[in-house]
Amino acid sequence: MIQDVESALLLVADPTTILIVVLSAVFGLVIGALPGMTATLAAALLVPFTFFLDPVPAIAAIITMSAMAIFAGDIPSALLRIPGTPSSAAYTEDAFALTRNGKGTIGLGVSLVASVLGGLFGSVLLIFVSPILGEFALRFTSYEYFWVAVLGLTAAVIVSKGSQLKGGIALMVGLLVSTVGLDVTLGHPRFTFGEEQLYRGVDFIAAMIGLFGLSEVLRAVTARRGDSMPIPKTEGRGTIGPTLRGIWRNKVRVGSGSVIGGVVGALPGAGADIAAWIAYAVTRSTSRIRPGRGRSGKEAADDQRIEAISGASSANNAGIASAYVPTLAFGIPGDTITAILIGVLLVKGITPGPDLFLYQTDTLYSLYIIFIVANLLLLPLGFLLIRVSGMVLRIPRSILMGLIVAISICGAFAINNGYLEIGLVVLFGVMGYLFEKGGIPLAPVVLGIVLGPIVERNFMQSVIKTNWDLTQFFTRPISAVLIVLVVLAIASVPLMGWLGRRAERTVARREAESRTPAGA
Amino acid sequence: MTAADQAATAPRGTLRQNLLIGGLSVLAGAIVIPYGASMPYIREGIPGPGLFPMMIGGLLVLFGVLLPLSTWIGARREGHRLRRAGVDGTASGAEAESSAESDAFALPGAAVQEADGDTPVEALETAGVMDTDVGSDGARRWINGAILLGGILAYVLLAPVLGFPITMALLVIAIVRSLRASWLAAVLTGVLASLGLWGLFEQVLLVQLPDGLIRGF
Repeated sequence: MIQDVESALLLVADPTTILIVVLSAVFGLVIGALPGMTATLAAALLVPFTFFLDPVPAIAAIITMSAMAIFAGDIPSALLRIPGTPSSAAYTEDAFALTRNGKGTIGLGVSLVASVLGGLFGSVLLIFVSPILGEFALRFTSYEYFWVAVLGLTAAVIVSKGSQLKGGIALMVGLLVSTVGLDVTLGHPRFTFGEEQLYRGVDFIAAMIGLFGLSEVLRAVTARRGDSMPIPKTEGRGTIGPTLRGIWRNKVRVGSGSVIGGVVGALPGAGADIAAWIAYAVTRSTSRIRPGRGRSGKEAADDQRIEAISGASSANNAGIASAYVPTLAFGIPGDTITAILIGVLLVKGITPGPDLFLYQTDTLYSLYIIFIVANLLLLPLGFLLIRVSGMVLRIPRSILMGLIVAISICGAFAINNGYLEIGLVVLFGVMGYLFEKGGIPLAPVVLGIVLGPIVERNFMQSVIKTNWDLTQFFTRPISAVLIVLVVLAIASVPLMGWLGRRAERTVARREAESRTPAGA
Repeated sequence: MTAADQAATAPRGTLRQNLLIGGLSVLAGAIVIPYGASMPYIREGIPGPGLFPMMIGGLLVLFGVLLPLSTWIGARREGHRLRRAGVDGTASGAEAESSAESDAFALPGAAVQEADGDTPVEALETAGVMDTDVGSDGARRWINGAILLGGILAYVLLAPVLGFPITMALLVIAIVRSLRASWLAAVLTGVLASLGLWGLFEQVLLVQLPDGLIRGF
């Protein structure tokens, strides 16, 4: 093991990897800080470049970028009341209210340190939990892999924002896209329309660039004229002291947020956004901060906001790391970014799953080290970003859109040195745009494209092996456990709705209670 | 307008939209199922390549039917609830609005957390302006969309002739300019992006981009 860690350290300490980590960190911070630009968009734009890198720097680029982007999303939340990434949406109002009260940089500082601590907790969870699950997964046959993939697909639909039925339709579209090309049983071409280049299937990278890159540009160019957003003045100096005091006061919240983020993020299909919302709801509904004992109503409200940010911000970064648990152990993505990473790893000849723990331990340990390094690097770079946030937000949107199109086209062309991929980017770009307009979530499409071949291959292998004896899918012990999990996941929909409404009522009641003495 | 009326108009737009999405989903399923059925079988009665597309098609039809149906049932139930509440005289407009937009999986906490004594937004000292205002009005929006998609098509057609640097620069200039940036900003972005990507992909990543006119330079 020590030998593995040593060789992993050598891989990470390589000058190319270090350069890639720093560049992707800056890229993640800038993209995450711009409203509407998600970490998934940043990952989609990075993919064409990772294509030309060795596996470790490629993984490093995506991990570092996503850790940075998730924190950077808090910057426009605090300054403009627009979440930079969906993970910051839960506490946007609180962060902006702190800015209004002259505590914006303290709110951002607390969010940064909570993100780092949450990210480190998630990384530790990843390091200890994924090998256990990986070992368990060694006992999996095609039946179990089929059910794990079904669990991932079910979770993707359940956590869909908006209607779950729309999530279901999005998932089917993704699965349908995954069937394009030669099939696994007879090598028969499907949905290729006589185009031989489509025999190998729809290129995943082109689909991602279209769904997240071009669709964003389409949205921007067809947007209605809006108002210019004034950027509030913030004082960057003297932030560290109050930040650390804020974190110390809310250490329990950082801890509980990290645990919630770690657990929720590890659920296939859930991810950092959902983790942040749940941690926010829990922190708010269990808050004990009240006005009184030298604390005015306004101070109590600000302290509650900092408390909520500590909980939710630690959760989203913990979720980023723990989303890699199912990715590494089963090869099932935890969220859209890990789905993109799986696509990159497959191109690099690395199959995520139990084999990683047996045969590619140096790559595995490198990945662990990168997680720790990325989270530690976030601390200085994050404080720097808070200082220069006004400048980053002033990057003209028009120029950015031109650059996204240029990178998207180059990236698509570079996949195969051909124009088919550019066509696919346009097709998926228009699809992403229309889906967003219709309120259809994009995450299930991505998971459908990635998990489709896994579901189909394992299903067909299983039924051919047993001559269509479908009872085998239900009678094996591990399969039975997985089926129970799928059923529980489906049953959790009404339960989550009920818990949500209950937490909302509690928040409202506490708010009312805390206001009464202040107003009196 | 009563609270019940307000609640009824909001879901009506959603119902129309979901009816369209559901209809398209059913149509896609109706095309995919026969296509899957027409594929070869592994042996008599055992489907092979067509099995998965057929299953996906079936679920597309099912979800496509359920989506508008569930929206309609939800809207009716909401209407009943509000009418009952209206009779009791307890429904406020705000309540109606929030429940009309309610979501089965909406997690709590999005409500604005205002406190007494918060500094008003107008009193904020500002340090600059963010350029979010790239949007346009009326037909201009659709012209911009056409410039983007038509520009990419033109790139595919012209890149082999004019070469990557010139075509890409023209495309980026057109897009940046369509978003109301100045000519200087558009030309600078186009030229620098094109040369930067040319250098990166051709020289560093060794990807052969189309040379066109500049072949041999």
